[in-house]
Amino acid sequence: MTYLTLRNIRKTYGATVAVEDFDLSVEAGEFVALLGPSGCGKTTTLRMIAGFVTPTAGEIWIRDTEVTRLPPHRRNVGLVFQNYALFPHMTVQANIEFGLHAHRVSAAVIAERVRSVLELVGLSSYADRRPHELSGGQQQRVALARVLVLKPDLLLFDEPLSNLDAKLRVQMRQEIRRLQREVGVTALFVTHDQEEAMTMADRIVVLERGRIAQVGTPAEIYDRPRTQFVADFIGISNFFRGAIVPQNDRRVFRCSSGLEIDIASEIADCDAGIIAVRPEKIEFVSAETSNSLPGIILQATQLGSTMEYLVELRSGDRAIVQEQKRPRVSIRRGGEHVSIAWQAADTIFLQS
Amino acid sequence: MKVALRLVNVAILCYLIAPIVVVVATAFGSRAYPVFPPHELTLVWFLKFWATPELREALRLSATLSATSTALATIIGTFSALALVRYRVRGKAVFSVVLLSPILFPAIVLALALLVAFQRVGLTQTFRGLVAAHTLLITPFVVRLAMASLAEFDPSLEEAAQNLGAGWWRTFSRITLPLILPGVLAGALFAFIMSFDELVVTLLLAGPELQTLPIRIFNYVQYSSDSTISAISTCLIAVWLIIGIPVYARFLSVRHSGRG
Repeated sequence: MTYLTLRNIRKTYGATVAVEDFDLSVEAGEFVALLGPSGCGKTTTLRMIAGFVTPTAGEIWIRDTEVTRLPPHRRNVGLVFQNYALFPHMTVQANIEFGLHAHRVSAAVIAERVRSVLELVGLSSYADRRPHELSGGQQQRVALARVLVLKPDLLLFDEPLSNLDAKLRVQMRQEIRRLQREVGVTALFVTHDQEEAMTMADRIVVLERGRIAQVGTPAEIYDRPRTQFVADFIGISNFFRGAIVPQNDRRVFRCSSGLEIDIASEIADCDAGIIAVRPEKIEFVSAETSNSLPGIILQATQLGSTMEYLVELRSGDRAIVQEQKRPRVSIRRGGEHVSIAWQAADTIFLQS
Repeated sequence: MKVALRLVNVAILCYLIAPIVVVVATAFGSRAYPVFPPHELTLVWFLKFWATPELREALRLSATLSATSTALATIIGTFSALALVRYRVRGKAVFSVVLLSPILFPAIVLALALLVAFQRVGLTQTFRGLVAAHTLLITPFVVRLAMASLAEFDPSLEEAAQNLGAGWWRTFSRITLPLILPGVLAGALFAFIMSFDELVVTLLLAGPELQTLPIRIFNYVQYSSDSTISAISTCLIAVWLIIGIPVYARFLSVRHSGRG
């Protein structure tokens, strides 16, 4: 069942277009990430769903109710803010009770729901603390408890992990997913961190300058990015411009530099004239290997568990190669002559 | 260098406190005119203040007038500040200047303007007229200090409250107001003192029936030189010590102890 529907949403500020042609359906219980660089319209979209921004055109539906022009306090949509926005003059308990009081829930029910939500987020012994007496991770949990206690129709996250340190961030990703599954609430998560989106979401919506660039599962986005923007944003750095040309009995992709790359025969066309290869899909091979591309290493960089090499090919094109550090595989140095190759199936044909 | 700075500090402090010391000391002096230091101690001037019906009546009038004006100024000032900081008001800069103009004009200019205006609508020599004039004079102080508090206030807290289901009034009364209260109270305190102290405008607008304490004192010192005025001043200083200082300590120094 479709739970949240955004229909042809458009938001403009004067002549500036913030969001345009935005269509999205979210299923009940789904966890969807809105991914994009700053200024791509992801936060504006979230704020339209929460009711803080009114769309210039289009409709927002939650289940079978249109909420496009409903004021924020009349929508049962929980928003977790980037800075948590906990009320500094209230205890944890009072922060969580605030929404229940606003909804005129009876005192007995309030006590029970606050107790169980504190247990759910593991903060039972912190009820009487003030927000500034808690760590960043604990404040995050209070912000989450404060919206979960209202049993919202929809949970919205506005880059909630960006204020946490790296280790805690990874921990909170799992924590948020666990809570979301346990409660069974539908969630929308705004982030500019592709790793966060990949690890957390059931589905990712990649945004580019106010428009949807691609919607898909993390695997789809990762393996088959549709455009150069998406490919670039999720960390692919090797792009080759050119066109498919027939050659003898097969077809090759001929780059503008003259470099020829063998392609799988079933590829019909490449309308954008651009292909991409993930750095970790490229291997160093011996020079005799067929279809290998000779070149020279310009630069070698340590990335922790992997090495990153910048290779200049004989054609003048440059490629980035990532190789896992393994025993018996020596680290290469700048100036070394190498040959690189990748599987034909790993060539990604991009669209414009 | 450090010693020199400390000496300057002490000198400034003495300069500020000296008049207060002299006033309080003369209030207890037994001579028929103020002498410093007093020779003999007495409470006769306090008793005289209390026994003079015009002075007691003036104190009551001033307290009522200042309390009413301060209450009005606090409400108007707080909402004006909210509008100026929070919303994109058309002509915000103009509105802001107009709202603060009573501070910028000389009191006597304002007094004449109000006199002319109030005569048209029959507000001169009325309590309502004085309340209107005082409210006008003191609202800018509330606006200024409330605006300063609001500038530090995180607007996402209001959004969070709305997101949790709170309407406009609940958001304001439970979230915004408690968090800007130090600024609002500071403004109200300043406003009350300004109103209680006001002489020029009140003198022109008040009739014979509406003699505030500053007017009575002004008149009193013109033909009398005993220490009753020192006694009144001492009482006001005492009230300030008992009410003002604790309010100041409780609410106005909150900013230094962080958000809490």
